[in-house]
Amino acid sequence: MAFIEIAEMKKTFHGDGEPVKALQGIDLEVAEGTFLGVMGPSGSGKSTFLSILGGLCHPSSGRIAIDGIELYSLGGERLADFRREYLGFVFQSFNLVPYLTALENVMLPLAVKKRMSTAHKRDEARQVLDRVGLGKRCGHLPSQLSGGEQERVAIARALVNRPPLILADEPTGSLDTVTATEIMQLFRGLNEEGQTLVMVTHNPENRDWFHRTVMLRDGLVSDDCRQRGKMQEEVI
Amino acid sequence: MKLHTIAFNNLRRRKARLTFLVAGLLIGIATVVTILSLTSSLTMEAEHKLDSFGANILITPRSDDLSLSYGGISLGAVSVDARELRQQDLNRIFDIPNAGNIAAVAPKVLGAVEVGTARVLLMGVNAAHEFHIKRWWSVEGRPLAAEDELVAGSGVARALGLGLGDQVALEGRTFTVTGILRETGSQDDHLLIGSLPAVQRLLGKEGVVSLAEVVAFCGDCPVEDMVNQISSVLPGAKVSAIQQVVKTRMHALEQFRTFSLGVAAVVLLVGALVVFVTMMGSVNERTREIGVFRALGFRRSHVMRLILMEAAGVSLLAGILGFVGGMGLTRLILPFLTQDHPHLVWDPMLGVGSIFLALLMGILASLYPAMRASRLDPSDALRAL
Repeated sequence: MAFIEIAEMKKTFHGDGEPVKALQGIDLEVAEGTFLGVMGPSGSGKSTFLSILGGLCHPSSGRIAIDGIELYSLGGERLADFRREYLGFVFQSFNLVPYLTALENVMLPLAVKKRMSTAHKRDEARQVLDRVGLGKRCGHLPSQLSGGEQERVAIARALVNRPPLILADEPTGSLDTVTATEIMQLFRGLNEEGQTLVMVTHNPENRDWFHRTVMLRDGLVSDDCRQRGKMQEEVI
Repeated sequence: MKLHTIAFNNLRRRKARLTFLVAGLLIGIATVVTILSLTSSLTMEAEHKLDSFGANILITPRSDDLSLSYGGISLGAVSVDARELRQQDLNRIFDIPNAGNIAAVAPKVLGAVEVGTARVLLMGVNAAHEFHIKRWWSVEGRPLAAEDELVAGSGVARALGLGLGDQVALEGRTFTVTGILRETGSQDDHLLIGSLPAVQRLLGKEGVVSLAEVVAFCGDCPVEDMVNQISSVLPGAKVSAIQQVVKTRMHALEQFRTFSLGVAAVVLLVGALVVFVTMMGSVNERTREIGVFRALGFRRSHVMRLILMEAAGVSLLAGILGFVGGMGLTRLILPFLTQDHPHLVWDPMLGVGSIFLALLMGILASLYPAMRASRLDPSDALRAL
């Protein structure tokens, strides 16, 4: 059984004008430990794909399962609980909370965990910040950090819960080439430790970092390229 | 880190928004506190003034006299059936349900005495009570301290040529004039005033009083109730209220209180609206942030609690500052509303009430914004994903 199973995923947005078919039937299976890149031109449905995979937006139809759990059959607040336990998000523009320090931002996913002491949460967050090379910037507010540092804090926040799957949306989009490479190396390192990653990007240079690249066009998979040999052994 | 840490840090690090939110509620709470403490202080002052106006309930022996006076000229009375008022019966006044509203009971006995060739009206009083209720009395010398002392009204002192330290013989007993009452413009100027037991003995009226004046004020009940209560414990007495003064005063206080509460309600409503609008603005401004919270696994209830915790923090601060500010404002305003030296009433219940009211208004006003925030669609809120 694949770690991520997507079958006939469709999404149509109904606005004032004509309905917009963002996704027109995606079928995909991703193995655990894969570094998957999702690429495509603007309007191809990449962000919608990631939103649905992240349990943030209900699909119009289709089936999405992560680790055997059917996402959209989870009722009530269990989808929020699933996001907390299974997913880590790295957003395009970092989306750090401006009034919280780097350490507090990293602790955010742990804030609603009841059976964990504040000291334990702080220790966990410090460890992850150390891992991304920001152990000495814990007390800084996002406005006091560079773009690359903010991105690292966002990655640390995604990691702190030790989620089985990390979803990243254009994480290098607003970074210079050198910093972007450092960030991609960080993701690569995480992946080498067994972390499953799905990254949406429009930058063709990032393609070399992925095990597998899925190209989207007009809401459909137009290409599915497995890069055997260059990266880790492809599982599927 | 817990939810309240996020709420606290948001308030702490966004000082401008905190200031605006607190100010909105603070103005409302401070106005309410000012109005209520002003009302309270003015009511207390009114009670004090009414007290200093003198008696407002008069107790006389019941009689069926028919008054024969017209145009200020008294032709005496036709006595049909006169009864006496016993001094010990007056103690029953303190058994009435509203006994706590009685400030003083001043019994007195009256009788005519010969001083040389002149006939003078002698009044026996309980000195402590009488001088307490007649605060406008100003005595040259000193008030009564012993049974063989007299205070002379200014008119009597002038007519009889009495001065401080003079001896006066009354019915074979000698009294010393220790005080001269300064002119009052009332019948008191024509009295000789002695202590109640001494005058009772002198007039042969031991244990009997001619009348008693009662100083009573009840802010929450009509004075007629007290008149009825006293009448029921003194069936042989005629109890009457000087109603006009009391009623006018109470009516004015009641009007002021009603007006104040109306103004307070409007100001509070405006304060709550300010909080509502600011919190709505804050939720709109933080849409993306709320989206991040939701994406990171915060439940709707977590988001709602977060917003309400912030509202509670703001309200608590506004409640405390509003109370202190309101009391300060009262202290500044009070001297302009009254000529006397007003007494500021520090009521701890008003403090507790203002904090509770601030919390209630702040949380109620933030309830809809909090619900709206919790219902935000995470993907709409984020847009980035």
